[in-house]
Amino acid sequence: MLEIDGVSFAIGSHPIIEDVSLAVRSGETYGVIGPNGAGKTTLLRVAAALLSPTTGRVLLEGTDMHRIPERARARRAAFLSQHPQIGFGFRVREVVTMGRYAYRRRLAPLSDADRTAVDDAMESTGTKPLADRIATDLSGGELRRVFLARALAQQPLLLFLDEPTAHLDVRYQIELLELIRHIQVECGLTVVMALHDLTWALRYCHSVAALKNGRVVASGSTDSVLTEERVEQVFGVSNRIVRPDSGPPRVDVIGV
Amino acid sequence: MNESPVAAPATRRDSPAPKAAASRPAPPTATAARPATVRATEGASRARTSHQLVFGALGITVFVVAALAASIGTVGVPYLDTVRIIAARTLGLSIELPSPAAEIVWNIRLPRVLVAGLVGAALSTSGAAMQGLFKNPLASPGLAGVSSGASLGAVVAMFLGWHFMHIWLVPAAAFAGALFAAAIVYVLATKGGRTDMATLLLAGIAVSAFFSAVIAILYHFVEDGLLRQIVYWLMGHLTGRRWDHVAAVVPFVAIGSAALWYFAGDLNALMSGEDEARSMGVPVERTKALVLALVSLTTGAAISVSGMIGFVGLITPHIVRLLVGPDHRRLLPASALAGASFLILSDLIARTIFSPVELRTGIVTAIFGVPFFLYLLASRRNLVRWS
Repeated sequence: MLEIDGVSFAIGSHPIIEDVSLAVRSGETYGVIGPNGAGKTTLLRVAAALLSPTTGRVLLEGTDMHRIPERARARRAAFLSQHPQIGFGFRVREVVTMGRYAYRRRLAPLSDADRTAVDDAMESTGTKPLADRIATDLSGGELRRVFLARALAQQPLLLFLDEPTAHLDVRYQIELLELIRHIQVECGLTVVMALHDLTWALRYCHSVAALKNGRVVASGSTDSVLTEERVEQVFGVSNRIVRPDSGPPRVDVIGV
Repeated sequence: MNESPVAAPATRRDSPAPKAAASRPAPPTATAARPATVRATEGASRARTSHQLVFGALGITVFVVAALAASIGTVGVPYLDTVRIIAARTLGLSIELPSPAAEIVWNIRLPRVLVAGLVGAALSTSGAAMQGLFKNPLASPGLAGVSSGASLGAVVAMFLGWHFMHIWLVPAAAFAGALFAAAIVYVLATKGGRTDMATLLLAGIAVSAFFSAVIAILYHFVEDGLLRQIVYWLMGHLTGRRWDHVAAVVPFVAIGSAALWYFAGDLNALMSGEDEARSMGVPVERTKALVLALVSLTTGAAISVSGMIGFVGLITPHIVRLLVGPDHRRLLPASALAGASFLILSDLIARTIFSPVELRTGIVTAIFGVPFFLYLLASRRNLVRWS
């Protein structure tokens, strides 16, 4: 579905990501892991066509992402950044409605399809009760769900999430990841997300790419990529991957 | 007693019969989904009704205030006469009216009122657009160097004595200065096809400071009479504005404001950041360039006929957000209406409060507008929710 083909991005002569090639299959959750500064965010931004790569290309179902006109692209791929914000007193419903930008004609009122999409997105993210609240009054976890609803209102095939669990407490992290998994199954979305927490990558991703210094160290099925040796190699920490007989697996970090 | 629960399912089981199905067309899923949708639509339509009322009120206010301003002055013309004069002249009717009053209302006061309204609308719309574009409640229409560029243009023109040569030379120089300054600032902030808004803001402030310094140098080389004229221009005033001035600003304000409105959805999307906007399908760089260009044209045209009238463009959008919310689809046109009323009223006060001495309109907007705004700031802590 999404093919990242020899992509590099440099600021001046300083490379951020180099020669990254990945293949994301339709309907899967693809995790991008790596230490700070490994280039996870840049890779996601290039993949979502928010940044143009210095070399290489990104293909969405065979079409170059960077050549698809903005609106058409927004109907197929949505991106949620690490610190989404919105000021000036916008209400939750207004924020979610903005996700319909690519479907609406300028200054035209909402169509029935727009309303349904907004309602569905709010329904599935549990943000309906927040509809009339002002976005700046919400907690971090609530706000994240609102922005997720906006991304879903775009009715994309592909959803890019840059560290969706950043700055959330543990419970909200699990709730959000479960929500994403649920939506993904329900809507048949393909999700590409950068993750810090290796346990979440282990539990929620079908495939994983490990980045270090802007290069892909390993990519493929989560079990094949996330091994104790690889985690040590990429993050420089001794660790143990625990797979209890009952309950989900986890990555125990022991020390440096 | 035991029969009824048995009987009920029996009748229900009968219902798939063609006749019953026709009388009950809605499938169960649709009935279940309906309540939520209906509630949402009701809430939305209530909001829409209240917004329509606000727009109606703002529209009526502009007309009432405009007629009021045209009727009050050294020669008092009764309010209804004023309305009749304006209506008769506009519609080309011939109604017998006292001719000096008609002359005063139509040829002296009304053009000035219209210029005030157009300038107020231009500055407020531009201010709202700039606050959206910069995601900053402090943004004002002249932020990108437009105001200081216009000032320098006008001052240089007056310094060279152009105001004696032709009535339009000073405004033309101001307009050229505004566009020149905006172009410099835009070019400085744009690299590799991307405009950095923080750089643009800083470049705008730096260019403004530099132009102010150049103006200050010129102060040293002009005689007192001209200095006074320059200072007056910088304070902003609408004395002696005629139909020519109306005709000169109308295209810029009308086209500029309407075109800015066209970008309302893009401005909304930009409020949560450039990456987000881009991922929603907004052509971000093109939008920034075009909005800045439109603001520069609209504001530049407004300032060149009115001088520097401050605070209108900064304050009005904030007050209007309280009435219609932050959505630029409503905010921009509502700001235009509110800004027009605000400046017409300010100019009326400027003309009449110390009559026959006229205050500068720019002073009145500050003296009356700012305390009102401060009162709002103090009483509504949530006035500026910018992050």
